[in-house]
Amino acid sequence: MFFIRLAGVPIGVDNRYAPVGWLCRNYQIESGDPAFTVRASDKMLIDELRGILSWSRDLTAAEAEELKKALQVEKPPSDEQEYREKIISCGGKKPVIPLETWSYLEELNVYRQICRKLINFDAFVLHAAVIAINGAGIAFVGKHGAGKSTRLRLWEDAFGKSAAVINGDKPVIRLLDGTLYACGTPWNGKENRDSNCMVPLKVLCFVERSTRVEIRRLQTEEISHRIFDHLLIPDNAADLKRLAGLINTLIGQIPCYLLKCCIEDGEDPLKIWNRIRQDINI
Amino acid sequence: MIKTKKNYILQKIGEEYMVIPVGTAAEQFRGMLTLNESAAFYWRELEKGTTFDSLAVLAMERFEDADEETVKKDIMEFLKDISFATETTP
Repeated sequence: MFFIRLAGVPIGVDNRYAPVGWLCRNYQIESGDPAFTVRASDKMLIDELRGILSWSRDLTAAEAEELKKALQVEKPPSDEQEYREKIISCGGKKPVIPLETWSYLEELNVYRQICRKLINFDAFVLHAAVIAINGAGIAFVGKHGAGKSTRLRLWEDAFGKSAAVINGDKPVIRLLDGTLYACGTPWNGKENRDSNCMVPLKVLCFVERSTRVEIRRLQTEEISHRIFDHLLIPDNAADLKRLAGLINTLIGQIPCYLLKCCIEDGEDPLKIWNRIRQDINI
Repeated sequence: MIKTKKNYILQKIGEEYMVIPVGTAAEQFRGMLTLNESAAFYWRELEKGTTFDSLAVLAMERFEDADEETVKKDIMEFLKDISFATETTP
């Protein structure tokens, strides 16, 4: 069991395995009085694995089939020790589903649970990469492979010490005293980029690959369906209504742009940022 | 009586009306439906529970210039499109 502070909210994590604690190392707090505590149950971990089997492109059909069969007889160990003892009791034979898989699933599930509960604190997770330029948060939102991480690198190179990566993949956005903040979290994507801080969210850019660089401000009616795919949809009506309220606040407050990206076309973050700054008067 | 299933939720996000599934409905239908203003009006009536005829009467009151045949055809098509998200009770 350990405690973290995420988007300003103290949270308890009743972990089964060590890696999720390591993942959260920069966000851990001494202890205290958590607003809520999460724990991944057997069923939750099994459901996470089933979910991955249904969409993952990293698994071959044969591998997916083997894991599906294994799921009928294997269940997640309660901790590392139980896993080791099981191997010893089976004469050294390892389970088909290794401990690393279960601990990865725990990491996913813990965040899913946290994000579902954070809606009660006017916060939600957005699939985006966020960078701060002189403290102003810019979120790059786009489909897998659209170039969110590439934009982070380009903008970081262009702005040097004025830039800070807040989160490379799944930041939390929180409404606090009327201001929307982008918050760092340990769940930060393949490149492990994040900062444990909150910055005011100033701009949202929907990124698309293109053959030439273009940026244009989106009208309100162009935003809702673009943002929808990048949200974690709550599992009940009351939370969905809260999320819809937050998204309406975001659409009302944060200027949203369509950024067509192309490095070969001389994409220059300084030019893009100046264009946005003139537009919204930052 | 035709009624929307309780796990399909109509929300106005920005300028768009969206029907979003939650809970078990999200396992059966991935994604969301976008509705125009008229369809959102029908949906709200269906949330309360209504009949085809009542819906047609309400629609005729709302869209004064529309002829009855067109309104009924529109409602019929709409009900067909969203049949996975509605249930009929006696």
